[in-house]
Amino acid sequence: MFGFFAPSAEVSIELDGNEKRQLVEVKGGNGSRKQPLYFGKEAVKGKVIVVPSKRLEHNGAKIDLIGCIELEYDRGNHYVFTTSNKALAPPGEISELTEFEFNFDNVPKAHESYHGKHVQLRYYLKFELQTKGLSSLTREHEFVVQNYQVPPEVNNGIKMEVGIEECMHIEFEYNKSRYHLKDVIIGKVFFILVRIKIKHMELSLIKRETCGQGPNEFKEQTTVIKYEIMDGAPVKGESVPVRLFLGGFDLTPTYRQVNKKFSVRYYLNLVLIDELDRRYFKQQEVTLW
Amino acid sequence: SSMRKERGGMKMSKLYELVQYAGNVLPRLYLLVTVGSAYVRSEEASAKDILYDMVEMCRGVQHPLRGLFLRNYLSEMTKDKLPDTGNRYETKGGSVSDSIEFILANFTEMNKLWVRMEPQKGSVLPREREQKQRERADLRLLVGKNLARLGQLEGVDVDHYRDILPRILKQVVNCKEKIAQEYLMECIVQIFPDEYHLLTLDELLDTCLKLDPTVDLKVVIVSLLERLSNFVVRNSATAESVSVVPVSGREREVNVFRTIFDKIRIIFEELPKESVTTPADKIQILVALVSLSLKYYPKSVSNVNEVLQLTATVLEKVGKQGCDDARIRKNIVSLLNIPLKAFSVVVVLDLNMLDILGFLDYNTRKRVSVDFTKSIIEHQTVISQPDTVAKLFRFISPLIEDQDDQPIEKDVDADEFAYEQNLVASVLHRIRGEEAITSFKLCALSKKLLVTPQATPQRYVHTLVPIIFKVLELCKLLYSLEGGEEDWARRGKEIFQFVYRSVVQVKEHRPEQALKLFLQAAQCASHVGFDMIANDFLCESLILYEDLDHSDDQKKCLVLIASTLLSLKGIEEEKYDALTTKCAHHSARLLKKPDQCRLILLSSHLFSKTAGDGTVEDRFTLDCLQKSLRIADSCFETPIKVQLFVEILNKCLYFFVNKSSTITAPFLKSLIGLIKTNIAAEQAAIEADTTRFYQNTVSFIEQLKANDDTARFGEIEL
Repeated sequence: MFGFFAPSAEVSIELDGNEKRQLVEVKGGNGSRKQPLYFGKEAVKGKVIVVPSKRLEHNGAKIDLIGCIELEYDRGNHYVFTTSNKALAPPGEISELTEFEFNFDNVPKAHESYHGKHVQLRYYLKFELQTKGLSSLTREHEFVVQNYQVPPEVNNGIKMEVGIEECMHIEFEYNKSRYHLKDVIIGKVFFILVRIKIKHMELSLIKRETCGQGPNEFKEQTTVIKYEIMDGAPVKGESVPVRLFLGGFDLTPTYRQVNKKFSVRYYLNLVLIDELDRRYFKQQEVTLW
Repeated sequence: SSMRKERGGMKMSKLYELVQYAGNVLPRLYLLVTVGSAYVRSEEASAKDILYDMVEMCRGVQHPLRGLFLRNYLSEMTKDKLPDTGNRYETKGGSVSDSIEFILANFTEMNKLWVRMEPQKGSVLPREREQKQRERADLRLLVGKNLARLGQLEGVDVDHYRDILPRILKQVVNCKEKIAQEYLMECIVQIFPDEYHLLTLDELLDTCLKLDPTVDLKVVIVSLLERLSNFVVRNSATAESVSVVPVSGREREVNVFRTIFDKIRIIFEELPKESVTTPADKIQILVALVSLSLKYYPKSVSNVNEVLQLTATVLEKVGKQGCDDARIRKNIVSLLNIPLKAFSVVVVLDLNMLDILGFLDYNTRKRVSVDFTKSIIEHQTVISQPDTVAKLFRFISPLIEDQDDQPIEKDVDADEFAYEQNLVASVLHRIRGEEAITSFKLCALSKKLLVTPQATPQRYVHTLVPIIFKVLELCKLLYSLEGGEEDWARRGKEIFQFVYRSVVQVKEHRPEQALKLFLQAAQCASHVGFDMIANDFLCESLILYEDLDHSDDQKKCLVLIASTLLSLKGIEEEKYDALTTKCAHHSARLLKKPDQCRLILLSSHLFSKTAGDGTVEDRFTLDCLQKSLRIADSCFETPIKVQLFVEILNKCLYFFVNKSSTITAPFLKSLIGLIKTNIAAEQAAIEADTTRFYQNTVSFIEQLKANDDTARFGEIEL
């Protein structure tokens, strides 16, 4: 970013392959913006273009690739979990448009970018040109990292019988316990015993973001999907199908204790509402990938 | 192609997925069905897969009313998109079997939802309950439409049907709800072709036993039987051609009656106690069955008999007391009337009807008897065998004799009674043997059967009369056939003995009628040469006459006696004279003067005898005439007097014309003078008829004079 002084140079970072690169919309406090997508193993390369307005003396140029976790409650404290540094130029001077090429090709980017309510995990390139004194010319460029995951080898369905004594017994079934983000949840709910009058039944997908520990623990729960699957009162022996397409919703994979700092977990909540508006529910965690 | 434009080139599968993002299940499913049916039409995927998917997903709506309408929408949208033999959705899209599965799945679910709408006892107020039931009843068409769809599929042939039917029936049984069961059974009967029903009678009727006891089986079974009956009528077919049904390429013969009858018998036996199917209902079923039997096997009497036997069994269980129910009675009467109209009398009498009749109350039995006799009369059936006669009389016994259960009534309806006895009399006329002799024997038999120990005279005194008349007729006929033969004397005597005994039985209660019968018999006897008997009969009538005490009756009977006596030509002179004297004697003893006058006038004929050569001997005739003149003269009122005078004049004229020896022209002349005087004296009072009568008489005389060759008439001066 520019300092308080008049800009002595214009700096921009250009990344290779941007024309073909997929853009991902990232929602943040300032609205949404689109960022280029990189995969974990992919090399991040490009160039930094410096256009000085006058002859500029500097003490060296370098570029960092940083991956960090920012916790809302702990502003100012960025936990950097991965970083890589490349020197671009020794001290010298530049007087005209200069390009510095860089190539981070083996930087581990194990975690995926995540922008949540109270926690963010982001990757960015930071270019620094040290000028006289302690000031420097910097430029940051954020990008998104996503990792392909291997489909889980074992993916058993979820099948469970739950109920309230003498009141209601159901058996529900989901075809998998791990769903990828464009998957379809397919299953059914079978009524074993029904003694209450049910108004309707819905399936919701709840996202729980937890960060911090102890007294600073923050939990944020949002219902990402609310999907009615049954209208009306069933009787014993009825079976209601479940088919929920995940593709159209804004979901992230399940993150468990990323860098021991935060988790994002998803739960399927089966809710039955009776005619007196009482709610009966059963929550089940599912893994999204 | 317009669809394609609308969706902007998007693939149907994508659209199908897109609509499933709708958050609320009901609109989502409506959209699903809408897109799904377009999807089927586009043929981008196999019809059967889409159809199955849609019908499965509809399970999401468990609310009965909304679910019903949703599934109805599904049914409507897909009705022209079902794979069927020969249409475009076949092979790649599936086969007719898939359509069947689809429709059955939808039907099963709709039926479940519909049954669920039935308000539970105690959960709603009675008034609300009624309203809910009415609303529910309106929706039954939605459920029934599914079965109609099945019927509309071209590819559903007999073999398919025989697979489908058990599944539908299972649904019907399992829902355990009266309104649904009644409606669905009705649907099945009405929707599918009769040929199919003929092959699946076993399954259909077996199901009846599994239905809820609150279902009135009569409704179901009668509608089936009526439909099958109409099938034969519609095809103007015979049983043979109709009950041969093509199955899997071969033809199978079905004995419709046998199958149905056996099943119904089992149903009646095994019906649970709580069943609402009453005995009256059972009989209504049997009525329909008899009609059916007569349509399919018009000549089979044994079928009808079997049904009647079964009816008797049913009634036995109810008992005579229980049969005292208007509906049962009405149904039994209908049942009995059917063979009555279809078969001849002789056949009907051989059927097992008497057992059943025994269960009816008196009035109904009487009505059946009346209907039966009316039928015989209408068809002009001839009954010629003795045992038929015996059976007939047993059948119509309420009309013939008092019954054990006859209600004691003080005032019997005279008109009704007369009508019934009239019917019996008419029936008697239909009993006729092939020969005269056999007819006579039948008459004797009829009498025996009418005059039983239980019979009360009130009846047979009327019904013996036609028998007597018949016998007299037969007598004359026999005479004309065998008059000359040796046997005739014995035979004739036998006949007249029979007649005598019969009239005696009438005599005690209807003396006047007996009197007339004796006269009739006397005439007949005279005709066939039994003069002694004729004489005896006439004496009998005179004896009866003496017991008459009403002057009008006396007058009428005396007229008859005198007239009859006149016709008995062959009686011995002595006896004849005795009788004529008696007649004249009785005439003079009549109460009213005009009656006396007229009767003596009549008796005058008795005293006029024509000898073989044509001469007329009539001394006493003149006496009679003069006597009557005296009596007439002694009448108080002139109009009557004059009327009588004119009558006497006419009588004298008659004798004069017939060459009487004692009545002369002067006599006539003085009589005419007498009349003229009386007329002149009180012209005003005399009746116009009398005057006219006199004028006519005068004209007659003038005519005689004009045509007279012998100048006999010229002597009569006017």
